[in-house]
Amino acid sequence: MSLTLEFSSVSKTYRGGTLPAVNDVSLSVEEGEIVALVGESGSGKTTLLRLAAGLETPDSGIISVDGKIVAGDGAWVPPEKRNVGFVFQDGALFPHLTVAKNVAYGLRGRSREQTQAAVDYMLAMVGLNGFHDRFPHALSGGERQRLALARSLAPHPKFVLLDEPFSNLDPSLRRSLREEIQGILKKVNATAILVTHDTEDAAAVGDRMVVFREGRIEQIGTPGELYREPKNGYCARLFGPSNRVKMNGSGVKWIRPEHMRLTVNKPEGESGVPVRVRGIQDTGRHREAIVDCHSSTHDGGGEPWMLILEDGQDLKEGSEGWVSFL
Amino acid sequence: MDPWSASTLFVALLILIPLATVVIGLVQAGPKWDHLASTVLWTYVWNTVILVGTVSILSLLFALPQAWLVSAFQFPGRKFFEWALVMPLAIPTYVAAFVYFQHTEAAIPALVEIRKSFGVDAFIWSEKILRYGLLSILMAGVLSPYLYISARTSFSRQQRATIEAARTLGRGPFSVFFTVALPLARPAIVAGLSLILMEVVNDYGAVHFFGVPTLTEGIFRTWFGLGDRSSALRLAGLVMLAVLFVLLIERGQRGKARFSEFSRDQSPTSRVKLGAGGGIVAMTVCLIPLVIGLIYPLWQLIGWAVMTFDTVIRNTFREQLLHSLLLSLITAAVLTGIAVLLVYTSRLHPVRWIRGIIRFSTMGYAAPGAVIAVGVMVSFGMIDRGVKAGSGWLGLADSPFISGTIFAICFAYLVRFLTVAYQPVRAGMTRVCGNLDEASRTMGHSPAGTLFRINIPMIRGTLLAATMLVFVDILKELPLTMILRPTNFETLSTTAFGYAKEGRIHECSVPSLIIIAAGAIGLFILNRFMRHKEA
Repeated sequence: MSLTLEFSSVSKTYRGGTLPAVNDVSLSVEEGEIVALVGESGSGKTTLLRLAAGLETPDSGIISVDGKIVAGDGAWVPPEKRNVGFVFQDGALFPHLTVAKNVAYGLRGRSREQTQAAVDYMLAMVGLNGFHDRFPHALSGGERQRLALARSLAPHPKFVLLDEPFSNLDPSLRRSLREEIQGILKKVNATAILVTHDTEDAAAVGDRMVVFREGRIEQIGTPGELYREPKNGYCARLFGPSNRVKMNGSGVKWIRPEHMRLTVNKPEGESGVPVRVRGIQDTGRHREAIVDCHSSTHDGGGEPWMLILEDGQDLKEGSEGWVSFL
Repeated sequence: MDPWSASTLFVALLILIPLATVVIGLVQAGPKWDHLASTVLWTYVWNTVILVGTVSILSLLFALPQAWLVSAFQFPGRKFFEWALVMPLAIPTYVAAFVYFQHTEAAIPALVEIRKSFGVDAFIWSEKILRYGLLSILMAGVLSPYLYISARTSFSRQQRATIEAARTLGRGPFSVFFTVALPLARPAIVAGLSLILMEVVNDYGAVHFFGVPTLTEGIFRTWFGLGDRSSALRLAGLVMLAVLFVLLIERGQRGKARFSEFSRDQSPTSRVKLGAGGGIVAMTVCLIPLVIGLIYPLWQLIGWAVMTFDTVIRNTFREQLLHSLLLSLITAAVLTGIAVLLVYTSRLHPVRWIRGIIRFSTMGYAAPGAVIAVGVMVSFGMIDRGVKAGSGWLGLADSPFISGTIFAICFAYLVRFLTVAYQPVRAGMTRVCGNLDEASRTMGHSPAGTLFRINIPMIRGTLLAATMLVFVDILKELPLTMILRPTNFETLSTTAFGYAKEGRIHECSVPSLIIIAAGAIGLFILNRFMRHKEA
């Protein structure tokens, strides 16, 4: 596979900002790949997207597309020449143009019939058939985002950049739209970068995930890799509860509650770790036990562990138990 | 540098020419300067200071109680007063002066009596007090709405909770006014007062009429009376320094004390209902400035207009009207176009130096019209002489003259009124266009293509409104137009002023009323803008 978009050592500090929004970031995106950038708000992921589109200029570093430099090292390609598709958080639909004209806006140098055909095709693909003459304000939230996607894909961009496209939608709509958009992106074999603060969105849509923190990349990997082997606490907690386990000799690991087991009796033939139960919480779905660990071989590093209490395990506050690793 | 930044820089450099000329003029003393400094200069300074002082005090009386009543109390006619108290702004100071001047003449018999009974000193003093007093009252009448608007906005935005906390701590509505509302509104009050100050300093017509020579009048006298350009330029430089000084003070105090000006809680403080007695008092308090600044002048002008309408219309008036409207409209449209250029450049390049030169380019509104006019006149004269020398040397025939042309006066309007177009255009683009122009760029459209396909179509209404606002301002401008107009060139304001100066006071009512009508339209547009902003 060939590299489509490449950032090397890119940095950007906004005017008036003290910390860089993007700090020495290197990242390559391959053709046909969907990369999801996750991180807290303000972690610099949107800035990276805007840098890719040419809406911001990097302070240092190089951005290249198909090996050709588009920003940095004295080169500069303005956004209108980059052939990117950008889906803005709020859609950024042109309110004074109809749905069809919004889609046709990026199609230039084509005959009327070609434009018409392209618009029809795109609108059919995103399920907005027959919406041609409506205006954006008459569309629902989900319809708007689908229109925004159709508009950005219509000119066959080299890559698509999606900035929090689901964040203004309610949860149920979000789930279905996310599947739909992923399907469309895969169908047209788009190379895409998706920015989101929601790890579920990122894991569902992205082939690879990139965790951002304070302008730097913390970890890159498939959703499964990131879930199972987070590099540090920040990456681990993006996906929900995770326990810090320090083992003698092999350093610190982050292990999910479902990969640990709490029992009353010492497990046979295994190296169990003795713990004391600090408290039990019933969340309705299951019972969670908070335990302290003081063993000679394992250590929570001062932090308690959160474990799921299986049925039939009779443990209460203050009782002793054993933890084994699955 | 791309064409956008380059043209923005070019506009800024053009605007810099007259302003720099004025500043450089400070170091250059004209032949009559010593004479000026030893005789009338201090009169000009003192008259300006006194007038600014009295108008400010009267404006506080005419605006603050009214603003508080309208925002904190419920009484009959409150809604009417809320917007009516803004309307005196439609009347330029010189038009109000036409109306009020007759009273100085009506007082002559009384003055004669004073002369007889108390001697010549008492006569001189009472005549002076009459003139200065009347002038201050009429100016405060038409200018106090600046203060009223800023104070009312501040009062109505004050955090409801703050006011209510004061009430629960045992303060009545009047005590709350002095202990909470007024101190919180201080930055807004100072801002309103500084606008009034600028208008007083800018005024030429009214002070000329009432024989109160301020610095602006001094510029006219030095230039046209003494024929000393350099000294007039120096005087203009001093006026500009003084205005800048006041603006810096205003900005300084605003920076330190912004308080909770723009609270997030937009729910208005519930208004206290006034009883019958209180209602009558409130209505009277609101009616006084309204009568002085709007009702009486309007009533008088309409009466005169009915008397003289036929004679005025039969004169060359229609031609002048057309002149004035056309010139104002074309200039206003060009100014709005330039404002679009500046706003769009700052969107394309949100960098410090662009912001800096735009802030500079839109500073002209602070400089009095006469100051800008003198700067344009002198700098264009120098360019003319340069061109003449150059063309003579090259053996060319008659060189073009740019001073004393329509171009010169339009350029001066640009320097003075660019900000009037710039502010609404910027607000409109920020509010309406958001990131739509960025979206357009990512879809393969150039900056220019985006401007014409997205930004301009989307803010058409705003552009029209901005053009109207500039149009109205140009229509009623007097001092700058007086200095720069080509010979035999009349606008509505110079026509009105010319009639009044010739003693044809009744005839000036027709052009005056047209100016007022245009001003009223401008106020309605501004009002709609402010509502949008608050929404």
